[in-house]
Amino acid sequence: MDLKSVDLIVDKHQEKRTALISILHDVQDRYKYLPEEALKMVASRLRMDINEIYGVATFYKSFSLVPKGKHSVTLCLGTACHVRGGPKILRELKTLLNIEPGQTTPDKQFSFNVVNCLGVCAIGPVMFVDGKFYGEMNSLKAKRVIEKINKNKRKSGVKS
Amino acid sequence: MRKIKSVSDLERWRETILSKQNQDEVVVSVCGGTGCHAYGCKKVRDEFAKAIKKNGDLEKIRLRFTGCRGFCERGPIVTIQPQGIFYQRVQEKDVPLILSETVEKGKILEDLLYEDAITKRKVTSEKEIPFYKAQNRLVLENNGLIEPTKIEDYIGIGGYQALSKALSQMKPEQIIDEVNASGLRGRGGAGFPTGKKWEDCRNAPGDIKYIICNCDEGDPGAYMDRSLLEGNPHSVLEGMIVGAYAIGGSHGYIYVRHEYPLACKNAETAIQQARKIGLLGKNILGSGFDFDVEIAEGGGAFVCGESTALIASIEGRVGEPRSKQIHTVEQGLWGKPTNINNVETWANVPLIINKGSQWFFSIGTEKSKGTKIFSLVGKVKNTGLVEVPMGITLKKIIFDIGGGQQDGRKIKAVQTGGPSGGCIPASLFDLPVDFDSLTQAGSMMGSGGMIVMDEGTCMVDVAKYFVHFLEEESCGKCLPCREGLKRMGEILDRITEGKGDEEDLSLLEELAEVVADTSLCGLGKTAPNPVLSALRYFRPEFEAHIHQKRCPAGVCTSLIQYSISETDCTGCGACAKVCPTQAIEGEKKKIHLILAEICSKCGSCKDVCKSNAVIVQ
Amino acid sequence: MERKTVHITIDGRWLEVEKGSTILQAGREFGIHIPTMCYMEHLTPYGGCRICVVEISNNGGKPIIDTSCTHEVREGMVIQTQTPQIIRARKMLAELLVASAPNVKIAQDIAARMGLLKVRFPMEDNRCVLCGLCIRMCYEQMDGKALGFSGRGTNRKISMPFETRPETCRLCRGCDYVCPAVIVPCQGVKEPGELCGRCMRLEEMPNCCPTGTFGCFCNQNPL
Repeated sequence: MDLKSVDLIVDKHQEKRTALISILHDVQDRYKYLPEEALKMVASRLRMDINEIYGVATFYKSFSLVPKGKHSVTLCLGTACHVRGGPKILRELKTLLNIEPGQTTPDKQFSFNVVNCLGVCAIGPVMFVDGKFYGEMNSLKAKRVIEKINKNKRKSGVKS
Repeated sequence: MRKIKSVSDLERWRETILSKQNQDEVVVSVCGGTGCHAYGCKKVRDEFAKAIKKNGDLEKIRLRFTGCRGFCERGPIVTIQPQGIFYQRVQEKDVPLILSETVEKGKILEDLLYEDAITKRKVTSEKEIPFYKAQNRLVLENNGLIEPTKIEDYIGIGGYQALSKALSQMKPEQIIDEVNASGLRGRGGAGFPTGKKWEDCRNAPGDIKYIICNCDEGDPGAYMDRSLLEGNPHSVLEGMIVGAYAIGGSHGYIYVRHEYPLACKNAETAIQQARKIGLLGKNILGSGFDFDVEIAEGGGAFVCGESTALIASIEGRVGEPRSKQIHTVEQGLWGKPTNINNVETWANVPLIINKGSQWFFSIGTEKSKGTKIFSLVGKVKNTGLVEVPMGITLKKIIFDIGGGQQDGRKIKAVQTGGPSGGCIPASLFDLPVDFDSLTQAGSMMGSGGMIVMDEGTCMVDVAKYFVHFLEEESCGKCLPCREGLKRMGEILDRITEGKGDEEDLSLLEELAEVVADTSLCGLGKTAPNPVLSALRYFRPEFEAHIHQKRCPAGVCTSLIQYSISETDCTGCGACAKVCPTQAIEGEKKKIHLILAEICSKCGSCKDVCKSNAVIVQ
Repeated sequence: MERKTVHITIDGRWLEVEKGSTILQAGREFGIHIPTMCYMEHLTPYGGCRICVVEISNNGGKPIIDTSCTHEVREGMVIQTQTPQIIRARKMLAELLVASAPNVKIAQDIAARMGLLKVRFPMEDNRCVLCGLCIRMCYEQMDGKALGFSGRGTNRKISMPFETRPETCRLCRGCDYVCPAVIVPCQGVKEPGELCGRCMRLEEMPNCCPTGTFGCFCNQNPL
């Protein structure tokens, strides 16, 4: 595994322990998850025990130690989104993708997460898919968003 | 941008900026907040930019991509000055017309105006819109007047005047006196007197002191801090620098949660700009005072909003709270005296310095001064950010500003204070909103989240929601929080599935008491509040679930049934088409029927039915 | 000269105790018993199980509840260790503990001491009570740095980094030694008539036990 990027990321953050979470986010963006070797390298550069970094990597919800899917589907289950029907959308997505929140589909196409408030409460229920926010969702609209992604893949001939 | 080395330097630059502003020019402001982004505001803005350039109007029209205006449901929002015209739900295709009709000829485009739901009257000017009219937008107002990534905009509206005044005309002790006299209390939820916190930190022994801004806004349903840090990061920064000078701080951090990428980005830009021109760094404005700030990111942990957990997170450790027998103002980040304040608290500081403590003191109630920003969301017509003076009643916020109920369902309660707060029933809506009044009713004002609930909201479900939320966010150190919340969740699960019995309620209350008494940190200590307040005011709903196996609000899936009203059904078949389990039978133009055994209760049929024929009970 | 002692009151008894000591240490000096689980002398107090909670009042102020193992004594402190509220709390904590780990000896011990007669929660069968003693032993006394907490909330567990024994672990068995959940060999839960052969039954090993030995001297260990 090419770990040069890890070195560069740590350099970019000037080896600061206070930037640990940002460093891990950058590593995760690069490799789509936090590989063990990368974590060990970060620990060694920041003079941390691997125990400590393992603890941090497993504590914060935004990190994943297993490879994530190509498309990330995040459903907000904050209170405002909840009272506006969030759970129904959760059920719909669980059925559609056939995985639980926190998991990735076997074909590695979709990673499904729930989060407790994205901060766009006025337009809830909210979904955050591949960097885009979708407001005022319901089960049907959620289904259409997923179907659209699948359709685009088929259209462009991308192999699943 | 060259370095500013003194107060007079800054004033000269301000004058230059102001002189470049043409009083006759038209300003088109497109809201660039995250909410509006979700509705495509960037495309609207790009379209404006393209069209203005093409028409050769770059000199006549100033285009601004502003901070979050707080009326997110109506986004994308575009306002036009100097007329003060407010357009909502603007799309790309509307841009040419806006330019040719409104900007060019002064003609109003009726379709884009806000319409009062009751009077059906269209409202042209922003100031007349009921949502904004009853507000007192002292802190938030500037979001709409500046582009958050342009420090010149902030300077142009008087930014960094407070800092100049503080550094050149006031001693640190005087600044603390002013903040004390103003009565400012922390806006993050606990409401601790800010001046006292600063004073304690200043008096703590040690040369190195840290100043932290808490933007880990984790309360679901609250986004005031997001809007402020995203839309006007310099106001927060200015507050921090003034605070650092008063306390004697040497270095600062803005802790932003990971779920706020735009706030993080804009804050970083603001810091870079401030550094570049010398408002951060060494010898700020020639005063001899050094101070710098960094962004620290969160990793998706609600518990990191708690000050000791936040400090642990900045130190690069897991966000586990520690005992507060020694306060953070004495021993905080790396054991040094540390002052942590919320985003909104910091943003109030420049106002107090500029306009004086007396002015601030004159707003609000006896023990709660100033204004507070609330995030009014949920089952209410006008959702968005609301800034009002302390002491205003819940009724006024929910009905006058919020516009009251939506969907014809009566409003039943409002949840305040997030997972540390509780619900307040409609019968108590005459209560004033401030730090103390809501606590007596069993809730708290908290950081400002206000989630309105109507007859279609099941209060048992809400209690269950909060317990599961906290269970997931618990750090896991303490036995009562970790195990206690789990068991409370189990009991509530059973009740919502119709498997509860009478003893469950007393067991729930017993558990709640122990979790509150023995937990180490605020998360555990306040965790029982949502459950206890729901039991206090809505006990009949719990009892209906337990004794009658019925969910009065029609929410708990195990206890409800979907059916189609024979009188309202038109036989259009729209429901059958979308049913994921094919549980709806019926021929075209004939009444349809839902097969209860196959129905998954997803609610899709109800969403599409145009005749409102789907009944849930 | 600075005083080396402070005066406190525990359960109505006026005591002069060493400055810098915790309430728990002070109490033990004078034979006042406060139940504990995650505390061990010579290891840093953790304050995670909350069983040692007491009611504390400083200068007649509003009393707070905090763990006695972590709270330092201060001049004039008034402490109550047996108020009805505290006893209720400890009993409930014991109930939660036993419901989580009924096959762990210390959980049953504490429940018995609290006079618990009924567990009103569905029982699980965790073999680790997350007291963290093994971690503190490994770090503070044995310099192994091999154990730590991972995960969060109800998913929290004790593990070795990346679930593999690191090179710094010298198999010193210090963790086993301090673990309150270690079932003494040949006295553990058994079916009637069965022989001890625990170490052969891999599926029953507690997930926290890094050496997989339960403290016995069996050679067949998987790690």
